Amino acid sequence: MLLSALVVLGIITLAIFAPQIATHDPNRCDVRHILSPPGEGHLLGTDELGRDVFSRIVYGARVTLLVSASALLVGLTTGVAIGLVAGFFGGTVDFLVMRFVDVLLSIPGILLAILIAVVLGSGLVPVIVAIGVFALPTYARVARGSVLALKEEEFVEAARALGAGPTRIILRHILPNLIGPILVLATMDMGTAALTTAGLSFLGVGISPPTPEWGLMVNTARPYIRQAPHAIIFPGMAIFVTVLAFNILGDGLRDLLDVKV
Amino acid sequence: MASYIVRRLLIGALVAFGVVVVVFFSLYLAPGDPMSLLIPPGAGRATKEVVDQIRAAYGLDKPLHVQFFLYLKQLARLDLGNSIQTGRPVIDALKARYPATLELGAFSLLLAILISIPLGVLSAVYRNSLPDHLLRVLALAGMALPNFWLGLMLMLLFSLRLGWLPASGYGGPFWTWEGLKHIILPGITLSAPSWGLLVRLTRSSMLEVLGEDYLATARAKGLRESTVIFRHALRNALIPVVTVFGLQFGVIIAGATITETVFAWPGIGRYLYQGIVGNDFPVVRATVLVISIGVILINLLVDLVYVAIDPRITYD
Repeated sequence: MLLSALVVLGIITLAIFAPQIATHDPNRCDVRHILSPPGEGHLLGTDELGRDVFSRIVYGARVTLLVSASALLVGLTTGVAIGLVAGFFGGTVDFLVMRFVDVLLSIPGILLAILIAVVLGSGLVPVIVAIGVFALPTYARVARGSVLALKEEEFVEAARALGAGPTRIILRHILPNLIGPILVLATMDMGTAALTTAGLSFLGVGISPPTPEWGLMVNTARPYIRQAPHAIIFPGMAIFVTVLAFNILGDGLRDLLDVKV
Repeated sequence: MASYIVRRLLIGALVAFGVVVVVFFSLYLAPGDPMSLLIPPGAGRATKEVVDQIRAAYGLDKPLHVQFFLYLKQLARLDLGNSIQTGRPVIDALKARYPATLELGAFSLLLAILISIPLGVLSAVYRNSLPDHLLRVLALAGMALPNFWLGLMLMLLFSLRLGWLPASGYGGPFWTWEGLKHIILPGITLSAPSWGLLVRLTRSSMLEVLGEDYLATARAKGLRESTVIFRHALRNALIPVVTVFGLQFGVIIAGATITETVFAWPGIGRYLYQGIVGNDFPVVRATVLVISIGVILINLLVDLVYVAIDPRITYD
């Protein structure tokens, strides 16, 4: 787990200091060095347009972290808000909201994300929204489940007896108890979000060229797999290592904090 | 049991209806005029008359509730609209392609079963030993692998470098030699993400059973260890695992888009990809709907089979 935390820290450092770490401009095409193998001048070689693969991977960390974290933030805030309201008020509101969540859950995540991103058009925002909606149901369910348990607790009853309204009870008394499990869940989901981001760009949905995004890099280099496998191997490894590190870190945090999610 | 089945069918129908609603309204999420998704991309700037004609053809000039009703009527007639690119009915293309997807899905599930059950048993029997730790790491790694990349790496090694297997395409049913050679790489790619989960599940289910008294009895009778493990323990450990295998089939079918794209497999996943790159919204919408409904049906079937296998299960 310590190793995974270090790897995650390393990826965050890459993302923040990309301009200092990258050896080349990630979008500069060098026609004299198209599909060059790794070596002198270009640490991990160049792609089909002569762009430096290493620098694109470094900048790609920015895109992956930005999109995954923003998407989870979208999914987390909407999901938690929906779950809190449904669980706290119960009755018809709960029934309707949770059936909608059931419907979202029953559409396979990647397909839902494809549909939303295709409708919203290309760019980072459609992908963020698409993955956010994909993540939303889990948070709604976790939040609702916790509220159902928490609203029967004595401290909530005490707050109610003191005259606190529903908004105050939800925000001041229930929400703080949810933050731990939700953050652990979000760390565990970072890997899935990064994987989905890469999968969507591989399929040509959302993020468009020349953005240095790992899935997109694999996709555009695909026709040259025979001549320049390095242009596919390295970005794929970046995705794999990032997802693995977040998954292990999430699992570790869950066990460490003894959170059931 | 009968009341459970009726309830489960009703819930399934309700969720399927919900999916239809979500898919129908997705068109209206488009920024600006939803018509932008329905005009052929090559048409350039369409004149107002052309736009109005297309609007009328899709019924978009009518009030929303009427549009929805018309959409339901269309679906009831199994009319999923026409592809913008080819002008032909989407349903015909889906009908032609779904057997290939089902075949790939079934083969991948079979691979997942053949690989993860023995590994899960091994992990449980040699608990906390080197093979167990190794399998745990492999399971974690399997879940972190982007499957488009795994597919390309397999293709690079086994097709392009070693020349053992074909790089893409369909070679006939998988029980023929040519078909088997074509399906191995996409099959591994599609099923790999499920291995980790299934190995872990088989392991924990086996561990639960291994502590039972009847296994001590079986051993006391002098049965060989392999008989105890495979005849007595595994059969009981598999009951909860079977359901997840069923549910994984849905996950596998849903994940087929990427694998079929990598290996040019002529199924509905690749058709969806062609819809995406061709900006063919009717194709994307219809394919997402059909795959989602398919997954709901598979899950429904798994739930019903589960009641049949294990009548002790009660549902609330």
